[in-house]
Amino acid sequence: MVSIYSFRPIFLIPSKCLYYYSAKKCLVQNCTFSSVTTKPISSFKGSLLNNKVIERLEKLTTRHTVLSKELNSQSLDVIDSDFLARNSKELSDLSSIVIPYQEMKKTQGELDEINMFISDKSGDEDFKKLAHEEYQETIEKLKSLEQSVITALLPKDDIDEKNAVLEIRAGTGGEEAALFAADILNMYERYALLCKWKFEKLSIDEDSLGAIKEVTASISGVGVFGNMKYESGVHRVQRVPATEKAGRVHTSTITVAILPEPTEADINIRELDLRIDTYRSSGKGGQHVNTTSSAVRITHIPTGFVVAIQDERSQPKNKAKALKILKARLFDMERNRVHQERSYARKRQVGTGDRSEKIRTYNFAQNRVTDHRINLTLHELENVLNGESLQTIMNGLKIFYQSEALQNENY
Amino acid sequence: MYQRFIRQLLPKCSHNVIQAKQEIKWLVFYINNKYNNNYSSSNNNCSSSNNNYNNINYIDNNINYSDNINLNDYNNNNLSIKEIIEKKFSEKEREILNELIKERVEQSKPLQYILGTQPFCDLEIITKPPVLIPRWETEEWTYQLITKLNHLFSINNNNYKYNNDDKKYNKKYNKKYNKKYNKKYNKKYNKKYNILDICTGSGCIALSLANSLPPNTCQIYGIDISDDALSLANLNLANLNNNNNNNNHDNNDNNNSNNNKMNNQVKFSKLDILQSSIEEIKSLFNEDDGIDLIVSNPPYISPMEYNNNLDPDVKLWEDKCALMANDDGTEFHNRIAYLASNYLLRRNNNNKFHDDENQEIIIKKYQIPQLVMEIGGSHQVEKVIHYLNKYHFGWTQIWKDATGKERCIVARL
Ligand SMILES: C[S@@+](CC[C@H](N)C(=O)[O-])C[C@H]1O[C@@H](n2cnc3c(N)ncnc32)[C@H](O)[C@@H]1O
Repeated sequence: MVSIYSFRPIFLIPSKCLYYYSAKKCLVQNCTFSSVTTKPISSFKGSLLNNKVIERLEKLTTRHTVLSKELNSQSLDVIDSDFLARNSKELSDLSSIVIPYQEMKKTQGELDEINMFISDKSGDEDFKKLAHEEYQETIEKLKSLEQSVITALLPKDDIDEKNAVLEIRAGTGGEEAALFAADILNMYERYALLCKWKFEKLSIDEDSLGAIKEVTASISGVGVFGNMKYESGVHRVQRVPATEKAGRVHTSTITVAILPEPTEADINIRELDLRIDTYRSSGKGGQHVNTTSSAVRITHIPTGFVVAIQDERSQPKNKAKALKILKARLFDMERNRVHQERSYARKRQVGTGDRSEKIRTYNFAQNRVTDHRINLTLHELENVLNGESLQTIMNGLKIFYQSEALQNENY
Repeated sequence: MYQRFIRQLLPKCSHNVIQAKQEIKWLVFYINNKYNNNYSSSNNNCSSSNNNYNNINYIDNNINYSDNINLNDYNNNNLSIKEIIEKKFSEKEREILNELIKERVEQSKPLQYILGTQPFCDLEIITKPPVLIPRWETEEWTYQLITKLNHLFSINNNNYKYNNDDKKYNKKYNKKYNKKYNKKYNKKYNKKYNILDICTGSGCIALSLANSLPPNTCQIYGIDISDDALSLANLNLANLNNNNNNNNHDNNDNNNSNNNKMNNQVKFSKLDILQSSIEEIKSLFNEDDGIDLIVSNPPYISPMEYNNNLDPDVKLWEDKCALMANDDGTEFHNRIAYLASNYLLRRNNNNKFHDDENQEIIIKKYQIPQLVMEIGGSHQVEKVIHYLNKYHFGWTQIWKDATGKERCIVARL
């Protein structure tokens, strides 16, 4: 008899799960995370899984066992493809939950053993020290496993798999804000590089000093929006500007928006609703002139949205970029509308709602970055700004919002 | 100095400051790449890890110099063009920039001839005087055509979604997929889709089609009368083959693809479309069963227009024979319609390049033409439609460009 686990590479590992692990791996390979001092988000006693959730997990485990047995009892020679098709999908969905859950239970058992060691009054002191270390490690492992379980348990939002359009705008603080916008742009670009995503600047409005008033970029790859969506909001910087002679700390802000990039199927713009302006659109065009002016400005007449792009030497490419931004904005507007219409939308849905909320502070004097939503502070500003420690913050946010969602799920 | 350059360039840029700045930016990057390879090469090092799409880095406003990878310097890599010219450039580099701008202004040399390339669809086409510089209008309709044709090739193959935007990004993925796909595809459809590009010039249309259509689905022919054009077209072909070769290290396991580095094969030949006999024309193709699609951007400027109002950039630098045509600029359209209808296009009874009922439906749904000809504007529409009707094209349509001008006439028999 063939063990069910020999099937694993084919259909037991759900894609989401694979992605989770591979994304983690790629980050680890590409940069060394410096040791992070963070306030614990939740001590493990306050595990996010409440009794109801655990009850449900146990039910799913039983179902998983039954299904595996059934699939296992099929001989490979007379495999019933219909049966396989029907059940392997369910099994693979279940496995993404049950496998980390089992692992979690095992780890919980280990933790209990360690606890016994620690509380053993007659124990050797050196031994106890060791046990304490092991305790910390095990807790970390448990948290990460729990995260996998939660991720798998929550309904998957297709939108998380979409590519994203990133918009950064300098806010209050004049040139200092524009300089900070350039820093943040660099942070996301480096982060995308670490994630092996494609990062393409679509348009950039730049002052002569390399300060950015406004920039738009497209980020594509696996799970971009799902990871980046928590970045929308007001980012605040506190530092002494290079031009400040008195050495006073200034506070300035920039706004970041992450918009999911719609696919063809998501949004349909009528040709008629667009007005497309190019320089020198008078005259015959074609072979008659050889223009180098590739700038394009598109106006969406019904909404009044205007997007102008000039960076590429190819006019059709500028047009395509402008359309991409326009579509993302329209799609975002539509999502917000639907969201607001829903009467049950009590909870702020991340990535749609209020972009004027102050979400994060970068304090140079104290070498710290604080995310105000989850009260997480990293004392390694440099590593956040070069993209490496950004994942730590994003993980924290993900855990926070997912556990929030879990509490609101109806079981 | 920056301000002076801008002022100098203004007359060449319809007095638009933004455009003058853009031209300077491109010139600066050009000089930077050409005379200062250490910047660009380290830039490549950094991007090689994440595939091919980073070779368009140079268009970015803030150049990430070699310190791109240096984490401590990330605050300083935003240099404006003004700063590059005035601080980073050596005296010699500034002098070169000055010379190039002089050429551009005093001799009306087109920017694309100075830079040596023009982006076209997903390619960088090499440009050399006097061969016509590809126009954005042509690029635009070529894109449109590619999108339509890809519908045709994705018949019966829902898995194979070809997306131009993601193409470079997904190249690796596609490569793997394509192998599987090709096997399936070739078994079913042994005939290739034949495309003929008449008056191919730099080869921009033919090469873009070859590059952007699914692998091994098409055979593409390009013809031109001019030796300059043909050698440039072949240079572009060779250049693309080399590039593709360099970029795909996993090419080795594709043993059969020695001369097949582009997605589809392209062959350029010398031919005078107006004078050559039918036999001469037909002898260029291996296929007896005809051509599936003819595209052409033939000369279409009337002698009057040519003599009276033409930009010096165009008139002084680009080949007259690439621009001017008799009969109000419609001489070629007439000839091409005649040849296409009577000799070149696959005829009705074996209209299909492979046996598939869906093909008919897709062609109707996406309005895929058999003949695409660029025109000079609304003034030529009536004449060209008249030719097409005369030669039994039952369906014709006009494609407009982004500025709303009549740009192409397309037709089916
Ligand atoms: C307007 S250019 C088009 C070039 C290119 N297809 C493009 O779109 O950029 C026209 C081309 O037709 C070629 N040509 C002119 N007379 C021709 C003829 N009698 N037979 C074939 N080609 C001709 C010219 O050499 C020139 O390259």
